[in-house]
Amino acid sequence: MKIVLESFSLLILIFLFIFGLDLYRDGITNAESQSSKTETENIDIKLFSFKPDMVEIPVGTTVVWTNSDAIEHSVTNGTPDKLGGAFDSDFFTEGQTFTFTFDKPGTYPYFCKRHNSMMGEIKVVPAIP
Amino acid sequence: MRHKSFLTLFLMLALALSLSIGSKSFAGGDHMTDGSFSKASDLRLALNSLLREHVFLAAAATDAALGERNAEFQAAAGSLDANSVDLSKAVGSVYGLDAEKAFLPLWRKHIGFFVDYTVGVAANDKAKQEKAVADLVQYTKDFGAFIHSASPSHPTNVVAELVKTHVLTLKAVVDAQAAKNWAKADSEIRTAAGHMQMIADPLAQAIVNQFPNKFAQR
Repeated sequence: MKIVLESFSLLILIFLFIFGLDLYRDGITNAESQSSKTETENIDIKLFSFKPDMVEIPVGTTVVWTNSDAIEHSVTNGTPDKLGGAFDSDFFTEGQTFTFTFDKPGTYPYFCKRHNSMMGEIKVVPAIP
Repeated sequence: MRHKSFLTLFLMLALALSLSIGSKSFAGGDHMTDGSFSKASDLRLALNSLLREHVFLAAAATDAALGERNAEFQAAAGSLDANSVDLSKAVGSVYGLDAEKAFLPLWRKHIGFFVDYTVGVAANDKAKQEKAVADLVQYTKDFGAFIHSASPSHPTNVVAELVKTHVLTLKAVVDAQAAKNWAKADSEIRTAAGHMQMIADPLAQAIVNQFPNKFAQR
């Protein structure tokens, strides 16, 4: 009887260990995916377009623009008629990136100074507590 | 003057038609045994046709502008822009809506620089002419980069050089029109239109190579 109980207890321990490990792993994966979703947003500059051109992010998110065109582009806050002043990458070329962290909620239009028809918008919303 | 303008337009259209027929003959290698064209040759014909039309309409617009025939200029400029829209749709049909939306303002930009150049020539304003030429040369790099992004087999500098020749051949048309040397103007129009095949053919071939399934034989 004692052997049966010990074996049963051992089985339960093994089950809890395996189940617990899975939960732990799930937690890491979710934390990672949530972290990458809320902390960094990637925008590709390709074929003279910002992709995606409209992005909504929580405060504190860092946006990374990567230039995939073989020509200089800029990421400049505002519109060709009215500069915003919050950020301006100046010109950066193929393979280079520009990074900016948005600390304040608001709507940030931006464009390329060399190709004024290239426009995008970042909408920064308050972080969810 | 007005009679000459109509005659020039008529000759341009006749030339466009003959070039188009010539292109179809040239595309004979793509014929199927049943006599239909392949999708690849359709694409090459469409690009050749649109790019040559661009030259003829641009020449008509600059001629009207230099001759201060405003109504005629507006009509030519409107048709030139319709041609630009058609070109952007052709780009969109291959590379998608984003590319179409990006192409149109880029293409219109060089037309704007040509308008600047023509205005500079009409006003004998050397500074304006030089600024427009500098903008056009800069533009060739932008256009080269756009095509390279869309079709990476096309090096940026090669496309830029081809577009630079387009710019120079069209500039020669404007200069001859401004000098009222009509024989030279018409000869330069033929040169400029003929050069567009140097852009259209390799571009069409690169697109076909890039999307073989899309342009498989009918």
